[in-house]
Amino acid sequence: MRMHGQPGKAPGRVPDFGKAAMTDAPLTPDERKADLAALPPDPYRLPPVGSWFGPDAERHLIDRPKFCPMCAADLETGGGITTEYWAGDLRVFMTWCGACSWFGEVVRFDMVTIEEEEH
Amino acid sequence: MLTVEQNEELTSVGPGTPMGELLRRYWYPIAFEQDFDSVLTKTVRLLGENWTLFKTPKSGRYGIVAEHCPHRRASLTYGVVHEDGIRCGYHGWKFDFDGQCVEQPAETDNQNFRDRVQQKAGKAQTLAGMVWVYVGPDPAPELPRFDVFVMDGIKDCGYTTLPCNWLQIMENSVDPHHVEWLHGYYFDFLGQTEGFDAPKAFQKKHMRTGFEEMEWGILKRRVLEGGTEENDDWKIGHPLVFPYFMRVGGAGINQMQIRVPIDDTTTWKLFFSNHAPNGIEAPKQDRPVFYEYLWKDENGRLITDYIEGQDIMAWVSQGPITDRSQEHLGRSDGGVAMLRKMFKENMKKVANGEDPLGTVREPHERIDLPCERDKFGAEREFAHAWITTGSMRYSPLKQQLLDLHEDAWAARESAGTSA
Repeated sequence: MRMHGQPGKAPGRVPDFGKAAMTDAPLTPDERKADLAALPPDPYRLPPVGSWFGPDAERHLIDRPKFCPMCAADLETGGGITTEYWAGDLRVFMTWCGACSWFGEVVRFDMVTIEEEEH
Repeated sequence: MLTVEQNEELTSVGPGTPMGELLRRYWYPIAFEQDFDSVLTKTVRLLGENWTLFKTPKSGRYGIVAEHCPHRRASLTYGVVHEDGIRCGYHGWKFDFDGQCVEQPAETDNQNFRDRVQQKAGKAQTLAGMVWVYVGPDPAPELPRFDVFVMDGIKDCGYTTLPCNWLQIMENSVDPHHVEWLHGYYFDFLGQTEGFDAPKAFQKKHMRTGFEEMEWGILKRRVLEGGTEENDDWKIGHPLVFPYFMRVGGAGINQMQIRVPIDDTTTWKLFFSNHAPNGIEAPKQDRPVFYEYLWKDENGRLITDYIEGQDIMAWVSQGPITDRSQEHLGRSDGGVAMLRKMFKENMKKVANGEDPLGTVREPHERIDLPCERDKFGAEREFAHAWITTGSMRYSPLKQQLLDLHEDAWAARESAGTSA
């Protein structure tokens, strides 16, 4: 991934703010800490690095509904809440919209599976 | 599963937080009347703040102010209680029941100074042998006189302080499946391991559960194996009373389970019971009996050979604040998701200047809550099991209560009547 305005940087490098932009040498641990400190704060925190279920928390953050299916309000800024639960292969997001009070489930599919009734 | 931010919002109860602002719209029991038999003041902690609770010596009126004097921050708990307020022991600053500073002995020429000093204060009153306080904005609502607190009968109340957030305890109350596993399967396993008979009433499987929003919170219903929708467990159900109670009952026992949020990682947990089985008149009581129940043994191991001890294990072992960003809920946790939504909804109401769910503005004598009488279809043995295998086993009244229920059953049998 290339950072905007920084052509030629190797993927995975720490974004360069300050001294590191002027050199191709690897960053020292202290320089790395300084560069990270220059980043704007991440508004969405995750469980501590190395947490066993950290990847599930990351997927929740990425996949949860961002907007109300009824009124399109931003669920985050509108005071809504989404609780994710799993049913079989499905990931279900039980969602309440703080703007219009819609309360329902948003279900993420990888494949539409239909259990046929006996016939 | 929630985000870290949503979890923090739901579990932070301090001043200025959205949940803290919501919770401050309700009354809470915070002490017992008997605590003031020999002293006039007590430091109490509620919603992340320390308070001085005081009782006037002659009229017996209760007041509550923030603990630290606004002068030099000494504790008002070590002050002088007057009939019209409390005076700091350090330099004599006096405050009325609304927290207004009315005297500053060393500043007699500075009327404007004391007029500008207002200590944070709440309201206090008694009900059912407990001192209840409200520390939210005016006008204070009425203190709800729920039926368990005012009905006739023998009252006893077990209490303890638990090192965990109150919300994970509330979520237990909309999680009916845990009954057949924690109080059924696990209890039976312990019985087989340690050589006792676990009560069978809790081992029945859940065939259907239901959650219904109602004026006091969430009404829970269940159909157990061998039962139908005509049984009390479904037909009547029992309520989670928003935001910190659960009402349960059966076999002549009615109980309010009370979870007072002391701070983000501490809950004062009470089981307030009223015993009034049909067929016998319960003896009169001057005061409810309050007792501390145990949940850890002398080696620090959790005590799980009784019902509430099992619940406490489940709550406390989740950690001081459950990390809901790492949970994995299933469809059976629908009630839990509904409760979280209810909290968010009411946070929004408060932010919009509205009264949240369960606010009572009208004076009243008694609020009746729906609750099963025949619980788990267990009838007679349910009262015995509840008293001997629940927190009431620690009650000083334990034998008296067992005798009361047994005498009532015998009276009903000879009269040919049901429970």
